[in-house]
Amino acid sequence: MIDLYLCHGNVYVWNASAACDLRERHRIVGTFVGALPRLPRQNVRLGRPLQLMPEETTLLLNKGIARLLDGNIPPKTGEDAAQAVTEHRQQSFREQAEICRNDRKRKLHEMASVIAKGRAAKRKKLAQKEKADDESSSSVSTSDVTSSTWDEHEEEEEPRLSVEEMKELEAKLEKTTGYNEQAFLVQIMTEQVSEETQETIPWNYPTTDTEALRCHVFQDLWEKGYFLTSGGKFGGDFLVYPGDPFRYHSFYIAVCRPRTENMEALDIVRLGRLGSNVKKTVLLCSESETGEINYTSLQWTGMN
Amino acid sequence: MASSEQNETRAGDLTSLLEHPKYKEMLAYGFNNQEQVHVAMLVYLYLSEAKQWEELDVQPCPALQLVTLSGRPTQADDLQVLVPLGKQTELSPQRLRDFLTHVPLPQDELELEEPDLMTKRVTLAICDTDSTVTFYRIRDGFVPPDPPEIVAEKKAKKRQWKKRKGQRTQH
Repeated sequence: MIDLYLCHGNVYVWNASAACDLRERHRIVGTFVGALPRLPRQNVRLGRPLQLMPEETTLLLNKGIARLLDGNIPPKTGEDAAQAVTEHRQQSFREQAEICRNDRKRKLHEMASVIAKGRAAKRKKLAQKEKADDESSSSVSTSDVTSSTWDEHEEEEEPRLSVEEMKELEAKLEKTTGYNEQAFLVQIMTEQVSEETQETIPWNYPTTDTEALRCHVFQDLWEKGYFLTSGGKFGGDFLVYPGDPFRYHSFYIAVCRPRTENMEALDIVRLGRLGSNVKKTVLLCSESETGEINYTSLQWTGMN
Repeated sequence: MASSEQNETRAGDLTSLLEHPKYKEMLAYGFNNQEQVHVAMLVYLYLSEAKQWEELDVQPCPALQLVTLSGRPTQADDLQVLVPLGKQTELSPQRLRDFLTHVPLPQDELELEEPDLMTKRVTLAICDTDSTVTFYRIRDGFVPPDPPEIVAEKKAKKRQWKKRKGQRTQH
């Protein structure tokens, strides 16, 4: 069940997977109206919340796909709520500390060979320095022997840290890895931490005949398998797509009119002209006497 | 074009329109709709003289109490049915569907098969006060727009047609 939130007369979807679900499984597109946290200073790509048209909401509620909740309820405050947040944050810090420690350990093991090489090189240097000192003061023969065997030994195997050395380094790591709250990431909540059951609220759309006609047409077209979005940009009620709007241009501009409402022939010209300029067919939708939706396609012939 | 002398001839022209045989024929249908008959006459003249349609005829539609035209631009084209309307004519979605249901199909089309009334195509010929006519086609159901390839094809054809027409008038 997808949760929809009614907030100041608009219906929003906040959950990301719900928004994806709506589009992929239920062919409900909606419009993203929120700023993207990482790309705030533009409005080419917007993010959640997803705002739904009233017709989309009506359809989802009628089909039992979603439920409507009150989005106006402010988050809970008070001792319990503050406690829950603090606990949640402490838990997050503990987890982060653990991850940090394990990360450093892993790095240590990765660097083991490098450390070993470094230590071996250092020892070699020291040995050579001693050798030089010895040569300048004591007999040549003994130091020659010792230093030459030492050198041979080094070149034979690759330097590795012994188990004791490793343990020593790890112990040092434990000491130096502190619990620094300043360095941890803090999650900014977009939902309440504590689970709460919410009651659904009523949805009062459609109320007028015009609205009812729009809803009926929307549902009918949706049931036929089309994707529908708002048609305001093209002077109609809906835009009708044969597939996902991301991949297709719309084919039709749906214009809803009551069956017996008169318009001038000039209005037909207006609609037709609009449609032909944008390479779409205007679809005049009206409800028949028997309650089904009739569609009349309007196209410019270009005979002029 | 608007000198006082010409004004007199214009009045004369108007009278001659009313004396056009086709006009008289349409009046004879007995629909009490002189305005629509007048518009039908303008559309008839436009299509036959200006657009030079190969075939064009008038017929009554008693169910709608309207004069309709039928014809084809060239022999190769399909037969079309046109409903002439003044731009201020009031139309409702129901009225448009009535057009689709009741507009008479030309005789030869009827012979073909049992036509599903709602798959008819009707062309609305909407006429302005200065006698400009715009044509819009209505059909029942969903008529998807032409895919881009067809659009390009049609454009090319049109260009060719215009070229040929230009050559013809040069003779």
